[in-house]
This record gives sequence, C-alpha cells and structure tokens, in this order.
Amino acid sequence: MSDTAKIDRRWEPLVKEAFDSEIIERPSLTYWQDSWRRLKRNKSAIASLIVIAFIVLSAILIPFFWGYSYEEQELTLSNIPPKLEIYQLDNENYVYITSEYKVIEVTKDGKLIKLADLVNDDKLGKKCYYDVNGNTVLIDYSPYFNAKSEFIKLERAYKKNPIIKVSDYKYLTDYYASQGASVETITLEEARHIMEKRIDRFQVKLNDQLAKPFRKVSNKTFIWGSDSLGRDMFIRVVYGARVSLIVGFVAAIINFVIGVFYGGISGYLGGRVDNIMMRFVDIISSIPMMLYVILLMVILKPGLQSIIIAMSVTYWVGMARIVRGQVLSMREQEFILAARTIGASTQRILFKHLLPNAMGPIMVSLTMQIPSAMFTEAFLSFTGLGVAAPKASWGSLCNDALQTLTVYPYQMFYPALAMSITILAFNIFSDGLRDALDPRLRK
Amino acid sequence: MGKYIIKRILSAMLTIWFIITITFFLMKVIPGDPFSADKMPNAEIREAIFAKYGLDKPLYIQYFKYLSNFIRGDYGVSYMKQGLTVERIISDGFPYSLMIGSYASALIIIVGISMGIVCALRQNKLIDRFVMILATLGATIPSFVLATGFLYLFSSVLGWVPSFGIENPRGYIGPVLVIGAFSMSFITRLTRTSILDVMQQDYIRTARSKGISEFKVIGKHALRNALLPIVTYIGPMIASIVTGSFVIEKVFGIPGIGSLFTTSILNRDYTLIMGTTVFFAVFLVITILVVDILYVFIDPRIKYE
Repeated sequence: MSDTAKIDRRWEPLVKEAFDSEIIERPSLTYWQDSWRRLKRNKSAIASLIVIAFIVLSAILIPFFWGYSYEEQELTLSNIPPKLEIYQLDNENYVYITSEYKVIEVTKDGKLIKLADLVNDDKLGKKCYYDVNGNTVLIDYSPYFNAKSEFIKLERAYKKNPIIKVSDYKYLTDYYASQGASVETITLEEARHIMEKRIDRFQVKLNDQLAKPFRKVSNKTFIWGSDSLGRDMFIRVVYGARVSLIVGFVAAIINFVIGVFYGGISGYLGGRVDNIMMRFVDIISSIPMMLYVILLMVILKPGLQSIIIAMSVTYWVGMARIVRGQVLSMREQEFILAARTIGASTQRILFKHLLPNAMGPIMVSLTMQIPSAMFTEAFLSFTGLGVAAPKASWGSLCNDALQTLTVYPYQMFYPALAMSITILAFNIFSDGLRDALDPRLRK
Repeated sequence: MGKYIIKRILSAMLTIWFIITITFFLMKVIPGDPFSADKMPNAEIREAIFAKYGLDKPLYIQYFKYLSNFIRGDYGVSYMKQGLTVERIISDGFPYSLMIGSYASALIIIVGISMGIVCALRQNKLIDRFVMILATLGATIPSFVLATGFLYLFSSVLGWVPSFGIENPRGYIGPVLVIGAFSMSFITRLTRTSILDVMQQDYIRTARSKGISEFKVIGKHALRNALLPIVTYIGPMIASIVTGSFVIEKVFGIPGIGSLFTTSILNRDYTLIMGTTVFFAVFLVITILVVDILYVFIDPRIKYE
C-alpha cells in the first residue's frame, strides 16, 4: 500500500517554475565584455583613461585654432612669465619689468602690448631709462649689482681669513641699518643669503618717484608664458604632447607587431628554432640598450622617425619574451591538439587560436610600453639627441629650460607637469587593465 | 656547483665578446670620425694622426688589433682627452659614481624592502595607501623632472643644498635621492606583492598553527621566500646605478662616468666608447652571475648541476 503511494508521488506533475531553475537568465559575457565590466568598476583606471583621452584630444585639436604656432617667434617678448607684477603709470598705462630689466607695456588685465622705447642705457651707473607714452621709467639695478660684486670680493677674502665683518661691506651695513639691527660678524652663508634673497633685484622710479608693484595679473597673451625666443609656451607644450604621444603609440605598436611575430613563431615551433631565436634575444637584451639607441640616433639624423626606428630596433625584446611564454604554456593544451587534429595549418593555429588567447598579457604589456617609450624619448631629447628645434617635445622643452631654471622656473614646470601627468595616467590605466584582464594577478 | 660557475663564466666571456664585436662595428658605421676635417684642417697632419692610431688600416685589422690589445689589458688612449688612457679616465670618474651609487643602493634596499613589508602587513590600511601613492609617483616621474624640481626647491628657494657639484657633503643628498626614487618605488611594490603572495601559502598557515611568534613567521618563513624576485631585480639594478647616470650628472654637476658614454659617442672617441661599453657590460654580467650564485644560499631548493 505504502509502496504504491511512493510511486504515485514520483509521477506527480512538476510545478511549472521548476523548469526554469536551470535557465541562464543573464546574457553570457565574452572574455572582453567581462574584462570591460571589471575595468569600469575600477574608478582610478577610468579616471586615468579620461585624462589620457583629454590629453590626446587636446594634442590633436588645440593647434588648429590656437592663435600662435609652435615656431612663431616674438623676440621682443621673450621670457615673460605667466604671472606678471605690473606697475601703474597713469590710468591708461601699465608696465611690466622683466628680470632682464626690460620694460614691457601691458594693459590693466595683463595683455602684452609691446616693448617700451629705451631712451638711455647707463651701463656704468647700472640704470636704464625707458619712455612709455611720455612717462619716464627708471630702472636702477645698481644696489643688487654692487652687492654681487662686493660678495665676490668677500668670498675671496673669506678664503684668507674666515671672519666676515659687517662694517667692511657696504651692502651688509646698509642691510642691517635698514633692519635696525647691529651685527658685527656673520657667516658666509648669511652673507650669500642677504645678497641673493634680501636685496631687491631692481628699483623702479616712475617719473622720479619710487614705485611699488600695482598688482599681480595673469599673462593674457601667453597664458603659460613665453620661452627664450618669445614663443608661446602653451602651444609648445601642446605640440610636445603630439610628438611624445606619437612616439609612445607608434613605438608600442611596432614593438607589438615584431614581438608578437617573433615570440609567437619561437614559442610555437619550439625545439632548435626556439633555442636559436631566444639566444639572439638574450644577446640583444644583455647589451645596454641606451648604447644602441644613441648609436642609431647618431647614424639616422635626429628627428621623429629615427627616434621611433631606434626604439623599435631595441625594445621589442620584452614583448617577444612575453608572447613566447604565453604560447609555450598554451600550445600543449587540448584546444590546440583539437585544432591540429582537424588539420588546421600552423598559421591558422597561431593566429586564430594561440594569439587571441594570449591577448590579455600582451595588451597589458602594450599599455606599459607607451609610457616607457615616452620616457625614453624624453631622455633622448634631454640629452640633445631628440627632435631638432624648432620642433619641440616634452623632453627637449625641459632641456631648454634647464639652463635658466633658477630665473624662469615656469619654463620647466609646465612641460614637466604635462609629462608626469600623462605617464602617471598611462601607468595607472595599465595597472587597472592588468587587474581587469587577469583577475588572478589582482593584489 | 663548481662546474656550473665555470660554465657561467665562459658564457659571460662569450657575451662580452659579442658586445665588443657589435659595438665595434656599429661604432665604425657612424658617419664622421674623431679627427674630422673641421677640427683638423691640415690634411697631412690628419693623415699622420690616422696612421699613428692605426685608423688607416682596413676595418678587420683594426678589430683584431683591438681584441688582442684588449686581452693584454691595453684599452687604448682617448682621442679627445689627449694623453689620457681609457683606464685613467674611467678610474678618475668611477669613484664618484660608485660612491653615489652605493649610497643610493643602500637607501633603495633598506627603505624599499622595509616599506614593502610594512605595506604588505597593513594591506589596504592608510599607511599602505599612502606609500603606494608615493611609490606610483616615484616610478612615473622622470628623473630629470625630479632632479630639477629638487634643485629648484632645496637649492634656489630654500638654499639648503648647493646647486652644483659635490664638494659639500650635502651635495650628495639630491643625486642619491633622485637616483634612488625609481628603484625604491619599484622595490617597494615588488616586495609588497611578493610578500602578499607568500602569506597565502600553506606553509605560512602551518607555521602559524605551530604557534610561532608572528615576528618569526614573517622574518623566517615569509621574507626568505619572498626575497627571491627582489634579489633578481637588485643585481642588475646595482650595476646600472653604480655606473652612473647621464641625466643626474648633467643636472647636479657630478664628474662621474655616466656622461662619458654619451659624450664619447658624440665625439666619435672610439677607444673611449669601447672602454665605457665594455666596462658597463662587464659590471652587468658580473652582478648577474653573483645573483645567480646567491640564489643557492637564499633558496636551498635551487641546485645547479
């Protein structure tokens, strides 16, 4: 009796919902869709992707509508910083005084008009007279100049007798008198400090009256200042972005192509071919790379193409090793065996089966090569082997700014900042990409 | 072990021979020569100098002459700095590069590894986040930007360090920090990753369950196993740091050997190009060899047969 009851229950019809328990409700994601989903969740990677896109777009678009070109020179308006300390002459006339004691007429809100007329340059008295629409501007740089020459004497005397008496030097006496302090002896460092930092570089007299700066305005003509030849720094940095980005992308793509071919063939064929190909890679990588980059740069004339060629010749080695490692670990797996059993050609197995599966690590290494290629380009330009003037890259802009770093730090600041931000963004993005493409590596 | 070392030394010598050969012929391919016409207008004197240095001979004879001199320990006389042998030029500059490089290496190893350990043990805590941000910055900002930024801030604004040269001991601070920044960041990240990896292994759980103190678990079990990839990186790193850097020497005004290489190529100073290249290569090959031998002591599982 109980037996039949059991059988009966077994033959009971199922509830309809139970049929759906095995159904996959969400659409299945491919490897790339899944990676993209993971990447989107990584906020810093997406932020750096936006930064990269912004930099790329501005490098492409801004030169088309900017008022200046990267090679346009305005020699009279050279070395003008982005922030100007202006002096007021009267209601309409304002001037800015450069650290080379030149007077430049500006508008109230910071547009540069022109270099003022030099009336008299008194080199002996260390004074310059300028005429601005009927007003005389006198720049007196004698206090600083005299202090400087006194300091040179002081340094010489210091070597014989390391005691510095304030009363022996006029600039020190004047300085302590103006401070209302009585000091008898000081150290060399203090004397240097007073000369460098405490004495005004120049005094300005407007119509015979000592003047103080009126206000600080930002430079409206050259928003990031101008360089030593009066070129607009902003457009040069943007143009430098073009050069650096082209070098980064093209070098990475060439390395990718060579590396994938070389590594793929070496890994797939294996045996003796692999052995010979890898010994060749070992030799190339045991040589200091900078040697070959510099040698090739000297053979091919400095320029964009030769930088890219030089880097492609030497930098594909890392990519080849990665691809070979991937291919080696995959070629013994079942899906390759299956492909081979069906009769797929070597070419087909390599390009349709092995490489697509090795794409994750390859993509990561590709995005890491872009900043490192930019790094190398900057280094080459910094050593003077990079792009030739008047073209500019971030490295060559930094190199140009190095000599005058203490006087015009802004010329170094902007290209250095742009480069650091770009390289940082690429690095963060490639870290994020690695986490997304290969979650096992995530730490 | 002895057999392995002999084999490695032989293959190292082969590598150095390869480097000499490739560099020699590449260098001769560069257009121009050390005594080009604009430097030496008199053709007769030019020919005499060519004959004196053997530059008038066919290339393969010059090559074999260089090789045989090299084996006998004669690295030639510099063409540009007349009367100075290559050994002399390198041994004049090397102490500066070595000194800065050693300080920087010590800083990198001590600070980098300890920071990495701290970060791994405090994973995702505030200090870990902070150090990782610093490490990312250190690895991404180019060295000449760091160097000039350092000089501007500490020399021309604050006046704490001299702007040029290393007569004053404070002059070492900048070069050491800037050279160290990149590798220090790299080692911090490497150590952190490596230790996090090791901490998940079964033998760490076993060690903990035995009741060993946490200090011993980390010092004896985790660190020793995590050290292998770090040692692999440290070897070539020391070689490249100690042989100087063009950028650092240019910015800080150090008379080291890093800039010799670039200037000798630009001057086509053939003997000096060969001398510096071989010096770098020998240094690199030796450190890699030392690292491979050190492996045996760090990781007893590795046995070279």
